[in-house]
Amino acid sequence: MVTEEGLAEAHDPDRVVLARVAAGDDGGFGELVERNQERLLHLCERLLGNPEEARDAAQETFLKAYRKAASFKPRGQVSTWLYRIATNHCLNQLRRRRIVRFVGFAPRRAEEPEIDPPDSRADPGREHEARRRWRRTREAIDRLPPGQRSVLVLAKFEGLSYRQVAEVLEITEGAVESRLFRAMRRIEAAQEEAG
Amino acid sequence: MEHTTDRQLMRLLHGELPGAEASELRRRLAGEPALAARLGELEAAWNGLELPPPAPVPVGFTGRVVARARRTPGAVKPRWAVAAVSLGLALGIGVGARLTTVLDPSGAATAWPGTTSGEIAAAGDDDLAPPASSLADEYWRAVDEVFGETEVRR
Repeated sequence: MVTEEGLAEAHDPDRVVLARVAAGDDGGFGELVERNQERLLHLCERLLGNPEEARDAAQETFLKAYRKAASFKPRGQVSTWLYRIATNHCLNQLRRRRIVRFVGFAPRRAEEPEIDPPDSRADPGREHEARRRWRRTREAIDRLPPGQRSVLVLAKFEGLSYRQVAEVLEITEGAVESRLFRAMRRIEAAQEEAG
Repeated sequence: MEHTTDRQLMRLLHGELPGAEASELRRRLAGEPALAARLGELEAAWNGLELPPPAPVPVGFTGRVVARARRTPGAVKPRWAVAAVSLGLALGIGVGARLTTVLDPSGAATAWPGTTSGEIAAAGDDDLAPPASSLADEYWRAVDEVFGETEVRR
């Protein structure tokens, strides 16, 4: 007899892997990492604005998932749970970074990433323009409070719906809309400022 | 622009406005140039958000994560291992408690192994009492039983 849970597991292989890890068999954990690493690395990079920090953050996300495998509640997708862990980790990183900057241990420049276009063979004029847009966007995102930043990144760059963003952040859809609206107001103001 | 309308425009832009509301807003957009212009501004701001393509996944990332996970102190323990350790502990405690009772049925706190053989014998439990003769005597007795009295012994 096929149960609902069985069907859900069949649709989400990561759920099966997590159940096995919780039981002490981590044989499939590498596959779970492989299936989710690209999305998590991208999310962390977009939230933190730094590929090296993103690598550490993604690694920490997987380690937390490994340690907490037994506490995973099989309600939603494992990928949503991983997104949540990654987002919370990155937001904590951002808070720590702000504290460090406030105390004066790190200069502001350290937060600003070097943004280089990946293909140097592209037209130099377009390349310059792209670099300018990326930098402007990065600066605008970096000025957003963590809550607004996470909503904007998840909706705009990860392509999540309001409902999915709400699930990841464990907030209501109304709160998602509200944060996104405020974020857009700030972004518009920053874009006007930059001309 | 009205705050509520601005929100509605944003939801329309993101495809999050329910069908009936979206149709109503589109009807208004067709007849209100200011509203259409505002939607254009929001769209430009939204589409103007661009970030560089993210860095590729580093080579060997999966292997490093798995290796670190296995080294991690909080790594999950197999349930059977947890159960076995718990059972062992429970058995150990049980045997210990039984031994204490057997060695000291009076209930007085006698510290084992401080208990002397005399006390054990006095307790009347022959299975736990040490043999009256020495190991050497036991050995020669066994040898005698098998081979008869040996010259070596004599």
